[in-house]
Amino acid sequence: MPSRPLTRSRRVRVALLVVAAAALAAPAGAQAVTVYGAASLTAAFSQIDRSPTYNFAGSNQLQLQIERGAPADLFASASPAEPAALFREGRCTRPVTFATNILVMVTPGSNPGDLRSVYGLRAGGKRLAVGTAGVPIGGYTRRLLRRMQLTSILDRNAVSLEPNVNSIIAKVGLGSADAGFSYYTDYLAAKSRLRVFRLPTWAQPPVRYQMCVVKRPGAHTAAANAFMRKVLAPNGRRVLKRFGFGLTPRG
Amino acid sequence: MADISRGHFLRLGVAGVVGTVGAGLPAGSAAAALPAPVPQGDDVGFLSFGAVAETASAAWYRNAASTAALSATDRRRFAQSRAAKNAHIAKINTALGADAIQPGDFDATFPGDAFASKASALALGQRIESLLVGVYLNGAAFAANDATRLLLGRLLAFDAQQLAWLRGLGGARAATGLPIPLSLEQAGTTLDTLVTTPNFPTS
Repeated sequence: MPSRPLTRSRRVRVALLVVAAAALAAPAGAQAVTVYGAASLTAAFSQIDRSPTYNFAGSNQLQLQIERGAPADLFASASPAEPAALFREGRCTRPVTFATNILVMVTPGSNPGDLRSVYGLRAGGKRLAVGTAGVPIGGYTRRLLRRMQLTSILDRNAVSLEPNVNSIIAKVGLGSADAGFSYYTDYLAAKSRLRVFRLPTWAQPPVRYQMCVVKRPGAHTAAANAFMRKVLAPNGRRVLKRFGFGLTPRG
Repeated sequence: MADISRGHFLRLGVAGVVGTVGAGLPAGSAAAALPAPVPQGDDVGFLSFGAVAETASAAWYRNAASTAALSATDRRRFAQSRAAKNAHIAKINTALGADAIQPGDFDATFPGDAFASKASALALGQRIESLLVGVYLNGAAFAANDATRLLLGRLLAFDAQQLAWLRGLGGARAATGLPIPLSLEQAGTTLDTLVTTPNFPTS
């Protein structure tokens, strides 16, 4: 069949079709992906990839939002409990561990409570910033204190319960608390304002970060998978390490 | 009061010995009847410390079982002790429930020359057993739950024997003093030199 010569308007239409087809075939990573991440991942994730829409908060709050249908594509939690619950409910893929952390005690740089170690809190009368029991940092803190036989410090001191680790760091950094319990990485991010006290290794609960791709109608699954690959890739791991996270062996 | 003849006295003695030994024979069924620990309050601390320190102890026995500086007989017994330690960790973890120490939560890290000689290996082994004896003694005295106290007492009895055995292997005289209970704060400082958190280089 003889081909017809293309008119100018037809060439424009063909060009538009090509552009549209190219857009549809664009790599998954180019889709707008929404990442729900634990507050302690704020700085590191933003460095790994600036393009996603981020929602950083306490992992338990994020889990609840996802269960209520929030438009998350990927969920990264500071503890395995929340993604495991979503996985059980069929709301996300099998979780993948991608980082570890440890707990530390922080005080304002001036250390107004004159604390020398966590055992100094047994005397009571200090202002403590502690995560709520439901948020991973709060759960880990209570577990560590149980192991160290220091649960009583939560009764002997004036405790303010915080919804996530960022607010613990903010409270201590501003001097509104004499001490707080946070992740090591959050101390690093604000170390100019804080003093750190290591907590015994033997009493550390295993802090493991896990992520999973959210299953919901309209989810940007391919883009979420692409983001997950970025986090697990050598560059993502380098960034996590630079921000102080521990890394699990590459699987 | 009736007089007791020499023959009667001897028969009573034999009966007593037989009774005592016999009571120890059905250890399996007696152990099965022991109450299950339900840790309360600070009990979790004693058990958690025990689980982590026993992990370090099991690692020590594993290394000692392959240390050329020790005799084949001793190495065999170290391997048996390691198996016993693993069983004790499982027992403690059962008591801890949700607070159990998982395999891989901690790694034992010993000084590079710890197993270079019999003396250095045994010194480290005694150090770990001493920690366990001190903390279990504290727990056996002050744990809130009766069954937890019993478990800590049984662990104490086992590790006190291990400590005496290791001391003997090293040629030390039998201990004459009484062991001192150790607080977790005291014992934890030493234990921290022997364990690390895996995958966390700064710990």
